[in-house]
Amino acid sequence: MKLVGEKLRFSYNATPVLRDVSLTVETGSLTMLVGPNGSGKSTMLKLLSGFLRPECGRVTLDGVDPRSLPWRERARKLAFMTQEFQPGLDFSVRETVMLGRNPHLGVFGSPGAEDLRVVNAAIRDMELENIAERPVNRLSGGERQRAMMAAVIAQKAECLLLDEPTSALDVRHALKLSEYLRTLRRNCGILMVTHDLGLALRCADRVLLISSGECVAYGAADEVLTPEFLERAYGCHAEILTGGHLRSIVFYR
Amino acid sequence: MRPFKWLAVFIVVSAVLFLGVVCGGSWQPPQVWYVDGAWDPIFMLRLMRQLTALTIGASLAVSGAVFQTVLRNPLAEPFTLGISGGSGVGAALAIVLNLNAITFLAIPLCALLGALGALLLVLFCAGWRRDGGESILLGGVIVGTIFGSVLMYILSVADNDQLAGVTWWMLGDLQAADPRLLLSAAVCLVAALAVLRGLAGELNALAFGDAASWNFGGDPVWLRKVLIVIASLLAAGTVALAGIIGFVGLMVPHAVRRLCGCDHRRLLFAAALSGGVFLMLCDLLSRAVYAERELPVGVITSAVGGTLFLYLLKRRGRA
Repeated sequence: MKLVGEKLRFSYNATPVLRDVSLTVETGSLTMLVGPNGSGKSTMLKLLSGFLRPECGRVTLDGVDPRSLPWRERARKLAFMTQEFQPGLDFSVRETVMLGRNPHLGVFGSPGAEDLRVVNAAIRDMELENIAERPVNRLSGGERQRAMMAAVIAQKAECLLLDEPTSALDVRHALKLSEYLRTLRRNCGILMVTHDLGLALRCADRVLLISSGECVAYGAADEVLTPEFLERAYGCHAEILTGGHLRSIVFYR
Repeated sequence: MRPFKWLAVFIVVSAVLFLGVVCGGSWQPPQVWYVDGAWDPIFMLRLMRQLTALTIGASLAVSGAVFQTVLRNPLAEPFTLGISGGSGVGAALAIVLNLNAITFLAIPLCALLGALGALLLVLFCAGWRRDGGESILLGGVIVGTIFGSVLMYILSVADNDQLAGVTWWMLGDLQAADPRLLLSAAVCLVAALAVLRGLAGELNALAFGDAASWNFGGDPVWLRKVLIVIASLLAAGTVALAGIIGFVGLMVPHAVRRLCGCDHRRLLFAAALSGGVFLMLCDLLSRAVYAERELPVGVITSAVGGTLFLYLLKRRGRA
């Protein structure tokens, strides 16, 4: 699997939000997309998933535009987890996770034993067993985020695009999810947006740092997350601290 | 399990149908249904009413369930997008201009045209943005208000007989139906259910917003178009058949979600069944309350449905 975004450009109502940003996601790699608020990270993900159409540049999934594929075929290859996710109705956690099986079911199909097995495994992986029958819209933010993540896991796509999957998680769940993603990437390519730069430094194979819709640096994590690039992107001084085999980033003004 | 379930559904519907034909007003036991080589007229009238109630209740409940999901609003119902206002204007015009003299289908046809006119206006003005259906909801409410004021104007110039006719029509009347109209409404319902069952997974996804719909169920803008047109046609059909019957489309989908969950693969059939049976029972009640005359069925649906719904709300509060 190879998802390529080439020189993507996009504006909302004539306000440019992305200018000529390129990115490749391949099977076996975990790429993290980082940058300040409003720098165009979510837009980048929406363009790569095909949800938005780029003004210039192009997106190809194994050589074809994902927008041109029938949705079931596209969704079996490419999963997209959004931050904007709020059911208007009382869907239970289990029903929510079952959304991930939609692309695998036929037009008149119903979930079968295999679908139930996959859904249960995803619920177990995201530690949702105890709240599986509760309505999603009455859970806490972190629980809801894990439910959505479980749905994306149940989708079994070859490429995952995740928009801040750890933003509402506590430390333990965030660590667990990053470890989980690192094992998952053996069979698929993962691109995730995050504000946790320490996590990016420790876990990412590649990092794309963008600011004001432009690429600041793109490459291996320790080549991108340097004090110079970080200051250029965030306007803060940064220092990389090393303690044993762990590294983290501290910011100050 | 499956054939057993369908058998259970068949038995429930038949039992309610039997009850609805036998009681309510005068007592009609089966031995008087067919006398001296002719069907009893009261039996035939009641059978028609009950079948109309089944079709209309089912259509309204399915339409309401789809609207609530597509517009992502628990207060949405079949008439949210101005269909009641549009059809009201159509029917009132037909009554005031006395178009019934031309053909007995004048009122249903005008109501249907009015409803479709309101729907087209909403869809034309609201456009197809990716905003989770908010502009459609807003457009619908506004168009409904405009048509409502036109209706008020027509009522203000109508004479007393016409006024009574329009009022009765607005309250919903299950007896007016012509068998051919009923048959076409039933066929539409079955066709709509089949299409909606095919889109059930997509409906589930659309409930979570546009971006989630793109991932789990295809293009949200296209989906909204198809679903709103289907749900509106169902609602417009019921209006042409029996006037405006409120509350079934709002309450039944919520009650059914409480009982069988939100998955549209099950929800739509369950809503159709419950809506149909609910309206059949309401019709029975509307004939049984006074022996001499009958209550408008819309009064019963709101009173009974509202009470039932309050009870469900209260019970949830405790749980």
